[in-house]
Amino acid sequence: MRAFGLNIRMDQAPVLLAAAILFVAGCDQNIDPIVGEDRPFTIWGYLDAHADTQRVRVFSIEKRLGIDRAGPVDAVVKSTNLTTGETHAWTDREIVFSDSSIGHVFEAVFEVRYEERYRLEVRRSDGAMSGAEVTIPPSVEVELVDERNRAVVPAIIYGKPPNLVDVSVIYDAITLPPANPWPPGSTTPPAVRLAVAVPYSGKEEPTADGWRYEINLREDFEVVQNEFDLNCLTRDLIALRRIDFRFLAADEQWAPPNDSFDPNLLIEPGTFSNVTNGFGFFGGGYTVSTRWIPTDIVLRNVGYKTAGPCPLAPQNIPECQLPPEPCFRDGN
Amino acid sequence: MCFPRWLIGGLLLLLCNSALGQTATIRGFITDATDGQALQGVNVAVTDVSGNLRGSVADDDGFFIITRLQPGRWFLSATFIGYEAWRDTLDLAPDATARLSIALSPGLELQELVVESEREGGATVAAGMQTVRPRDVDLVPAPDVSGDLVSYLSTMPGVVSIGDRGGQVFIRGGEPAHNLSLLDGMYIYQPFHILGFYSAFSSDILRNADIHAGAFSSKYSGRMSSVIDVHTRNGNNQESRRTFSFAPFVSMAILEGPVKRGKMSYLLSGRASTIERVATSYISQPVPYTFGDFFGKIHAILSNSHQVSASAIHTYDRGALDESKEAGDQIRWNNTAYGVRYLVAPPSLPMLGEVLFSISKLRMAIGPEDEPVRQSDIDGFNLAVNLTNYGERINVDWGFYLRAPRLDASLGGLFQNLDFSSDRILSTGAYFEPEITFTPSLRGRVGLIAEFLGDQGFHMEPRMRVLYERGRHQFSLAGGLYRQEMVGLNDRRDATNVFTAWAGSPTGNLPSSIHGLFGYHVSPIPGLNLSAETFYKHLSSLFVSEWTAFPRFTTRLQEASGRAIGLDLRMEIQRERFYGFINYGLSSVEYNAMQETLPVWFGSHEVRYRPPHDRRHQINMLASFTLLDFDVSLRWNLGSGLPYSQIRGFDGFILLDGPVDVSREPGLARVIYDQPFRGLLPSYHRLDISVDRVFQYRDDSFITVQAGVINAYNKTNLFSLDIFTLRRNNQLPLIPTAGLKFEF
Repeated sequence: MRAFGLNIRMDQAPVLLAAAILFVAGCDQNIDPIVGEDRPFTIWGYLDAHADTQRVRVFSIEKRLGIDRAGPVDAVVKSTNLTTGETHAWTDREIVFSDSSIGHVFEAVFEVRYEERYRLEVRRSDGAMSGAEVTIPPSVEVELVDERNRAVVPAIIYGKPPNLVDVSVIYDAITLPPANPWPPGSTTPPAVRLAVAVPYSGKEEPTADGWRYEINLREDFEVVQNEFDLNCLTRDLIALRRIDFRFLAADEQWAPPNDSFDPNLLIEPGTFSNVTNGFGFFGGGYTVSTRWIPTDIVLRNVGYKTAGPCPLAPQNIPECQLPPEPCFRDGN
Repeated sequence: MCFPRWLIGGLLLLLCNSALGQTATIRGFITDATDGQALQGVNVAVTDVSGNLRGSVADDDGFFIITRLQPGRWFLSATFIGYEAWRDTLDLAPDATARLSIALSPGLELQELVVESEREGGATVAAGMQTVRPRDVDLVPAPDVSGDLVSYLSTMPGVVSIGDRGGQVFIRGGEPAHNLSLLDGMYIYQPFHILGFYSAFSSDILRNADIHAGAFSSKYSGRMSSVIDVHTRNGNNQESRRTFSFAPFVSMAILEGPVKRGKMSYLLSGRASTIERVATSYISQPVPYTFGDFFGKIHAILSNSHQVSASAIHTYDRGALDESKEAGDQIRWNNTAYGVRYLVAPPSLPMLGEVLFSISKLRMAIGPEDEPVRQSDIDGFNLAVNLTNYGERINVDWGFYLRAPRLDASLGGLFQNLDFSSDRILSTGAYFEPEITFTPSLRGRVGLIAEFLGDQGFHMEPRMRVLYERGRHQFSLAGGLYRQEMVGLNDRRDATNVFTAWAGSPTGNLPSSIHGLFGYHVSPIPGLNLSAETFYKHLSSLFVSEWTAFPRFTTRLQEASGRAIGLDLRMEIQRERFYGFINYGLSSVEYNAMQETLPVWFGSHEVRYRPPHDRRHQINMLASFTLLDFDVSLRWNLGSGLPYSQIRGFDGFILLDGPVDVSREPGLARVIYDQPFRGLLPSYHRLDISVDRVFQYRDDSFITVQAGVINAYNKTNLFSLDIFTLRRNNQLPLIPTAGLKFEF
């Protein structure tokens, strides 16, 4: 056999095999799966026009898994009002969260102004920097039209914030207590309060001055009932304490891709970010909330109870002495 | 359901083909006179008084048939290497069928003459198909006195094994769940043991295995990539035999013998791992694996036209692939299968038929034994009727099947976007595949499967194969459409996660593939075989784990397509005292995933990547020779690095979907991945050596002594890497082995 200009006899094959093995036997390779990231920081937070203290969470992008660790983080945070030139140095506050993890939240005591532009810079000691710019949205006002006497309440927002985030109506509901406490011998009736948030994002209609929402108490009552069901609470004895209409007036960058705050999508680095040379999102906005209590007529029309079937003082009424029926739901 | 017109037409063709009119037929079965085993490859020739010659070669069942013989006197000879020739004179009447049972006795006169031409070795591959015999398997060094089919498979180009544990074999780009494994017609869903040297197919029970790496024929359906069709031998129907072997990794016992001498036999085999008790004591790393298998077969020759066999197998595996995991994280699986095969050669028709009925079960689970975290069960039956009609120039394979596996999975949220439940998948179909001999050097097959898949409706799968031989040269061309009715879902982000959940297609789209291959084989000089085969597979409706920055143990599935393209080169050398081969496999596998989140992440609706089994280069060398009456085998394997996803860094994520107070929200740990599977793990190479010698201590009793070493130069090969902790699991280190085998 002739190969590569060499005459090779077949019975030499084992020798060649051994030579090939020796050739590669000395090779060994280490492996480092972390290729490294030039961007130094990930920033999460927003400038709140209704707060006197601003906060932002800063993650140093590291080569090992784990949210922030104890000890100082190599970061200096500074904000600048690009309209006035006013600057603030932010201070690092190491926080131990409820799950025992540790985070670095930077704070600065100052109030931001509507429609002014701010820049945030997070700088590492070697000069590497991540930053973001944000414009605070304009001020808005909310008017509820004839809010107490109708099952459908129009909410009109005057002003044109670029984005409305987390628009929701919160129903502060409660189960009416039976007359006799259960189990026997206890002193407090088992009344349970549950706040049910009904999302309204995407239901807005533009008006000449802003936005308009139609808050439909009757349709929302089904959501409230379902939520009570899920929590093993009776759906037939729900009373309403009050209603809150709430939203975040947000800057123009506070708009996720596909108009959805889907965590499975947004967790991917860079999918929802305005941070230059870094990851995360730094926004601007403020929370707007307005509250009202409908009349008993409206509540009864919608389906809420305004009085329970049993008197609050213990009575000898058989149906008021029945023990609660057991409720078994997934996860209970 | 109406029968398609092509099927009716085909049946008519068969009837026409069968109407031989005034001609005679010779057919029969050929066995070894000493033990009753079917002899494959026996040359059967008949000549008439004028010197006209006709011939046939016995198939895997030892069956041969010669049709359309003119009535009169014919001289028959059956010759085979190592056996005395059988000669007979037959006087054939018009329309007569001579049914013969030929038992060849061992002899020596032909052995030196035809040894080279009879061997089907490492380079003998045609249109993607290679037949592997026990003697081929026994050449590959393994930590056992006996060989195992999986050891041989791992020497084939285009066959990728992730490591020396896990039971995962990828054939020409196809995933393990895309491969059909049959044992005597029984479905074996997870045929490979947890330690990569072993499978349910020990060479001691093997008759032959047909490995179809792609573009397989219409007889096989229900899988989209490859077929491993294993046939076991029958028990010795002449005398009782016992075999026992002992080795540090496994020990084995085989009992066989006649139930009715010459007519009916039994074969019982059992293997149990000893690695966790014996080898652990001298290996430098933990090997917490328990596995084994039991096989039984009864075979009966009912007449010279009818045979029946019943087989059963049970396998078990248990172990933790990630050494850091606790016993409660062990994976375990059991295969159980029972089957009956009825073989019939109808007296009045030039036909051979088999009826197969089997029940197969697989249970795979991970987690504590009494309360598994995940579990996947398959339980189903398979009924198949395969028939071959023999003509002078056209043989027609046709048949039909019905199978209905019931799938049940409980996955503990492994695949978050899927709702698994119990599901029975009914598939029934028929196939028709004539083989036409156009000229003595050109023959081809064109096949079609018509399949009905319950809710999935009616499907057709065309297939074709062409072989052209000219002198020393052989060319082959094959292709077809392949589909499978169920999918094996696996989270391949982690090499140690071999848990596979079987289910119906999550989206309703059936996984399918289109194959094409072209091969060339030549024997330029006696003792040297060269072959080259290039292949292409287009894969559709794959299901892979989606990309996410969550460092979590569960995943969502996304649909993907893909393609595998490659070239297999083989060189085989056969000399009187030396046998060896060198195989090189060049392969490129690419998946194209489509995921809802991809546009905002990668800026495109799809991402192309190399899946983690895309081993680009692979070299296998085997050398076997006799030295001072010792049989020495060396096997060296080199594989280029496998792809994996690298990491740019770690940070945290807070969902700002409203006025979130960042001083109260802890957030989630996040992984910033680089583009998927852009990194390459280190290459893999290993040398295994075995030396054995057989001592005869009575006329029919033998002792085999074997010694060897696995990973002879102690290469630190990587099995898996935990990219979060940077902890690596290595493959087996240098391991000396020894074994004894007693046959009496």
